[in-house]
Amino acid sequence: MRLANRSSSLTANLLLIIALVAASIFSEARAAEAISFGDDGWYTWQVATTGEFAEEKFYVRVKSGEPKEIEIIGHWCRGWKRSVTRYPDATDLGLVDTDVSLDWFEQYIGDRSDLGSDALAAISMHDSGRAVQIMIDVVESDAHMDVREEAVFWMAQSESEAAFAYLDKLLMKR
Amino acid sequence: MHTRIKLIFVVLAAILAGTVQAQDGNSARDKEELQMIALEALIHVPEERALPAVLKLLESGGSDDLMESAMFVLGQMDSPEAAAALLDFARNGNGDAREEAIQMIGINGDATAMAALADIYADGDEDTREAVLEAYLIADDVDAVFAIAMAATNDDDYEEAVETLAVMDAREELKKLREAKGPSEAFVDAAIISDDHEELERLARDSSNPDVQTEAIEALGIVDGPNAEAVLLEIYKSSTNDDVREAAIDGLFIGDYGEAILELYRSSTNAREKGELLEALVVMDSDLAMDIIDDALAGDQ
Repeated sequence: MRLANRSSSLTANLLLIIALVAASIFSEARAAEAISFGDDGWYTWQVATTGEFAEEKFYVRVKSGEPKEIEIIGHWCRGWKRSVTRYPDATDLGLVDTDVSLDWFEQYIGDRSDLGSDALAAISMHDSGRAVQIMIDVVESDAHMDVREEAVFWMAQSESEAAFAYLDKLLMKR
Repeated sequence: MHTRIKLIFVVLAAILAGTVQAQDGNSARDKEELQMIALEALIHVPEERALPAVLKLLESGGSDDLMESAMFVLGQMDSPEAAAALLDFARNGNGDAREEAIQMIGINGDATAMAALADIYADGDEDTREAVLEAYLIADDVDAVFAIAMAATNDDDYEEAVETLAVMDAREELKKLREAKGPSEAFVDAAIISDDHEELERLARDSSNPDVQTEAIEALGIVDGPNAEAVLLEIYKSSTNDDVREAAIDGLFIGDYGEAILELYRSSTNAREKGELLEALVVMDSDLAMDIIDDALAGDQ
């Protein structure tokens, strides 16, 4: 019995080590793929996803090496002519891993300029459980009420079942 | 010393308790604010997803403000389920949220819910009846408001219904009502609201009810219709009734018709009347008063 306990404890430790190594490799890989910009101007990318969000293109305007503006153009502005032709010279970063894209937007949550608000909007348009969790974390623990409110708003627009489940719970909380 | 330490502990405990209580208060307020935002955000969400969330909220209950927002969101939906939820709250809810539910039935426009408003009006208190009239106004249901006015058993309800018809610019119904019930001050208000200067002129010339007539004469100056100045002058000149003449001067004063008052001043031979007309011009701060004074100094008048 004691031997069995020790064996299961060893297995657990081994799994933990594997998980930590995997996480470290994964995070290095993500860091390596991290979004970076060169000259000033507009940059655009998409994330590999299906459904409504497959059309979403994220646009970022860079000035003096810093992001200044975020725009999202996709299914929700379909038929809006300027959306198609607005940034023909944007540097296309192509398909970006969803988590890498989320990492990039996440760092601007709470930014007191429009960047913070637009970052939340962009996050809500990633078809990913992690995107919903980021927004839940903001709703539950951000220091600024206006940021929490924006996260709630964008969760409602996210078309995610998980986001709706959370909003249902929020609405029923007494 | 021992007592002092005890006292310090008591004070610290009180401060701590106060802080915890304040935090709880803030957190409850924050939660409600977030719930409000979540509700408002549902307006932009497809109804099939938003409706279940709102219905769950109604089941679990909440503050009057929250319920009021829920009613507003339901009012933006088209489905019979949303209308049924509004009607249920309009019948069984309370507070401002109930009034919101009633008004939102007007926006939703569901035939069954609209038909049920008549009973809600009949059984309701003053606020409820006002909310039902607003629902009819929103839905542009002139017939329903006309029926309420015809059936009204007290002045307040009657006046509210007449004013609502005026806001709806239901001139035909107002005319029918006046013919059926006779002129009243409510019709003067209605004519002002609907900017109906023809009706006002008719009431101003109708001497069957002196109070209504004088009010209508004064109101001619408020509505400022194309003939108001001429009509007021004519009423003044043709009437021998002091109240009517005084109302006509008031109307000219309200409408800022200084030239007309000057004309009356110049044609008057009565010193007391001239004094009143001059006083009106002075109060109007009209330059015409200076003309009269100049004339008087020159010995013309």
